[in-house]
Amino acid sequence: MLIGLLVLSVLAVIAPLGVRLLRRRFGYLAALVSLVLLVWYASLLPSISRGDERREVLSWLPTLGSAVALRLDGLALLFALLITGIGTLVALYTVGYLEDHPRLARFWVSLLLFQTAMLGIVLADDMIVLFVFWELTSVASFFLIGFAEERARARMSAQQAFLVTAVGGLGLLVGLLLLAKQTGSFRLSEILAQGPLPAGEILVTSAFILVLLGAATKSAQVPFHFWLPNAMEAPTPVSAYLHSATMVKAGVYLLARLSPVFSAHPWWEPSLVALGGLTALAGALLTVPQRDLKRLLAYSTVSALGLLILLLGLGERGAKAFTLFVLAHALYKGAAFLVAGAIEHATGQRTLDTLGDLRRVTPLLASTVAIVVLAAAGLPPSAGFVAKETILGVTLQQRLPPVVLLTSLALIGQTAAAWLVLRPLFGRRPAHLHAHELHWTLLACPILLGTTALVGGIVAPAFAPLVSAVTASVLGTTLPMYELAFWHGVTVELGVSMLIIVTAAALAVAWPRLIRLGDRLALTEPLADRPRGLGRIGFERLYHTGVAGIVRLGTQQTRLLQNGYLRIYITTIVVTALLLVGATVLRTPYLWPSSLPSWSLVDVVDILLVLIILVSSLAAVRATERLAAIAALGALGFCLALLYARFGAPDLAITQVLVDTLTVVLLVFAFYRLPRYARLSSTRARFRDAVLAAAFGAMMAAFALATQAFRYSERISAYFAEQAYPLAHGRNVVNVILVDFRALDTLGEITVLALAALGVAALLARRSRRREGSA
Amino acid sequence: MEILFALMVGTLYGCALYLLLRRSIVKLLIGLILLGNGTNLLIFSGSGLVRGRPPLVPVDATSVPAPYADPLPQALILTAIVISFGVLVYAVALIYRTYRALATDDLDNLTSTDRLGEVPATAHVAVEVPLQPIHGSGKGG
Repeated sequence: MLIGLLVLSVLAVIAPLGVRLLRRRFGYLAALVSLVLLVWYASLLPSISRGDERREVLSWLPTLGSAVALRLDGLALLFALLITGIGTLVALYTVGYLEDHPRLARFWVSLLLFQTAMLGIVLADDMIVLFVFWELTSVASFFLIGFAEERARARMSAQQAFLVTAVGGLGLLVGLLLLAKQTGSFRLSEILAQGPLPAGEILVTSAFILVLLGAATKSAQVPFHFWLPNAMEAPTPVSAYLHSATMVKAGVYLLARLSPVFSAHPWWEPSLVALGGLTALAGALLTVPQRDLKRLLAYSTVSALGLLILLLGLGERGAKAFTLFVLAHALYKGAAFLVAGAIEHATGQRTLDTLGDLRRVTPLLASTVAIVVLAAAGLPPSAGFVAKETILGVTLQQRLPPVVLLTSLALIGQTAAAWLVLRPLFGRRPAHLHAHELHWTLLACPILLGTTALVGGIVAPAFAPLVSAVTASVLGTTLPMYELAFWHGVTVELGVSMLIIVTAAALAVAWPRLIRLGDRLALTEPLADRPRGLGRIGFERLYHTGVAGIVRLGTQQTRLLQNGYLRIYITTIVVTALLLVGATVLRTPYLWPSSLPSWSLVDVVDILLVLIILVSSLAAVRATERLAAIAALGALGFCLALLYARFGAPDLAITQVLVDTLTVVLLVFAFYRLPRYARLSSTRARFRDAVLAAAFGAMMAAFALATQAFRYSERISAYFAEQAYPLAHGRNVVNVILVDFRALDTLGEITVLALAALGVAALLARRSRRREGSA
Repeated sequence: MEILFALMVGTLYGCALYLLLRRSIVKLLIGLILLGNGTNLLIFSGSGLVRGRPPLVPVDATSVPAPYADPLPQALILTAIVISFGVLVYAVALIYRTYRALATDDLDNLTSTDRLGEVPATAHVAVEVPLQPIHGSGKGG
């Protein structure tokens, strides 16, 4: 399993090179790799169906208690077969669909990355690994939806799908962490072994809600369903693969995987039945009044996903129907998308209004469409037929009229979507409609997938062991043995199923009337700038308002904080320091003047120097002329140097004198070219600043006093003082520190000076060049 | 003496902050110098004051006889003095260029580069030469 993931990810990495060498034929290579994986997983069918498991563990983050642990059981195998099987066909289909598209390399990198991540999700036995792969599928989906980057709507849809699933992903992460906290393990198999979690714990309830949020966003449940129809901006292979067969089922998979843990929770059944039922109904209602073939299928997918969640909510009874429906839906809906893509590729049209009479225009494509539609409509002997019978059986046994009604309506909507795909074959031929030749893969793939779905009902009994194994995973019990039969005889289920098919066909015939109703209610198009009808209360509207709000908030707070006024920045910093440092300084134990031994040290010269420093710094502030300020600075610097010299720092004194001289000289020269002193601030501002400055100065003075109460360890200084001569043969300890013990620091200092000099040279050189230029 | 040092540190920081808050760009320079001096004094007094005992090894000894002034802060301050001078020189050059290009010494007129999505209002008021973008190619003329 690890090797399979590794091969796929390596293929994703070398895709750019492969595409350059092989062009569109790279798709054959990708299909081959998927096929090999499919065969390998299929070879495991017998042993896994018997209830065996395969596990692999690679050490990763051992200190956090996480590892790349993979586990293959019935549920994982079902999804792995779908991912590799449909992956093979989609890879083949892409050869004919995208041909030698200029951005083919990017497409393959994203698609193979997705395939790796999706396999990773279903195989992961570690929740952190699962989450990482979960987010990777969102990233891959973002790039694939936005593949036609020149279209604004594609970019918007990609962002929308990513934001919605990423918000859910964040919730999922927290939920999984809570689950790990409750159970003490990241390993899914260990958590599942603990059986149902105590329902009374607030931790468990929070974890359940957050996991449900993650699953609902990923699987496009109401109210997050809007991203899926918009995601139809992606190329059709992507729509078939990610947005119908696999990725959108990740949320359903996760709930199925965790169902043994949560299904005993009192909220499990009501919340899943409500969420799934609502989504199934909303999707079904929105399916029929659509023009765009792909949006039509997308809404029907939303409805199917809702139905899957509803089945999970029914617990033990729903598990078998769940398994069959996952399998059947992936087959027939994938085929339906592929055939819709083939129609678009052949005619350049994708909406029901602009298509017609395809059975005469292109008979081969038309017969492909017919096969797929028969499978998707759930006519016997298709896999969809068996799945539908089982679903109806479960809900009828349940004897809950609302659930039966919901399920039937959802199935009618989905079947009607299938019948609608048949409409382009009949009717009047629109002017200018013509079809060009199709690459063989564009027909072969939907035919293969559609035929599999169509005869799936007959071979269903052979898959009974797999269905049992999946059910065991979902229920967390030992293997129940199921009998699967294609024909149950004339039953109530059969009657209802036929009724659904006929009603749906009638809806498809009446479509022109329904579309006018849909137009009036504004359900048919993605939300325009000015919403009308039902669009005004749509959840997508809420999403747009939310995103715009976040952007506005960001702009406003940036305007507020980053206002461009230096004095406001400084004030913010100083006020913060006053509050935080000041509070700490106030609570510091001081050495009070009486305990300071140093009054005896003070003599007249000291007092004189201090007085000069105090007066000259105030003079530098008060000066109204530039020269006066410079003179004050000079006096201040020289007195500082004298103070240094008197307190045992001759080197500092020398440096200070030197630098001070240079500073005064530089300023005197430079200030002739700089603007005069100007009084720009108002008296009120000056007063306010003076108060702030006085407070800050007082705080720093208190801080300087407070430092006297502490002594840092003098070991370092003592070491330098002792070893300066023996080790470095220098008698001036300060010099030895600078050029010997901390020589690298001094090198850094020299570098800073050199850079400053270079900067100054560059700034001044611009001027002289300009002057030459203007002369 | 520590109290006097603390007084000086406070005064220097207060004066520096007051000057940094002025709108006149030249006063900013003076404020920077005062701030550097104040910080040096703070570090110097923080390690304790020892009068007249520099950390020098006498000719007839191999280590400094105690008590001596702490050499470590001195090394730090020495570096700081030199670096502050480098910063000062660069700041002078930068302010000079800014003044020549924008013809203003009011910091309140220099806010546009930092604000969201605004065209610098001063971009069109150049006196000597038209303003060029900071990262411009500098082709001259």
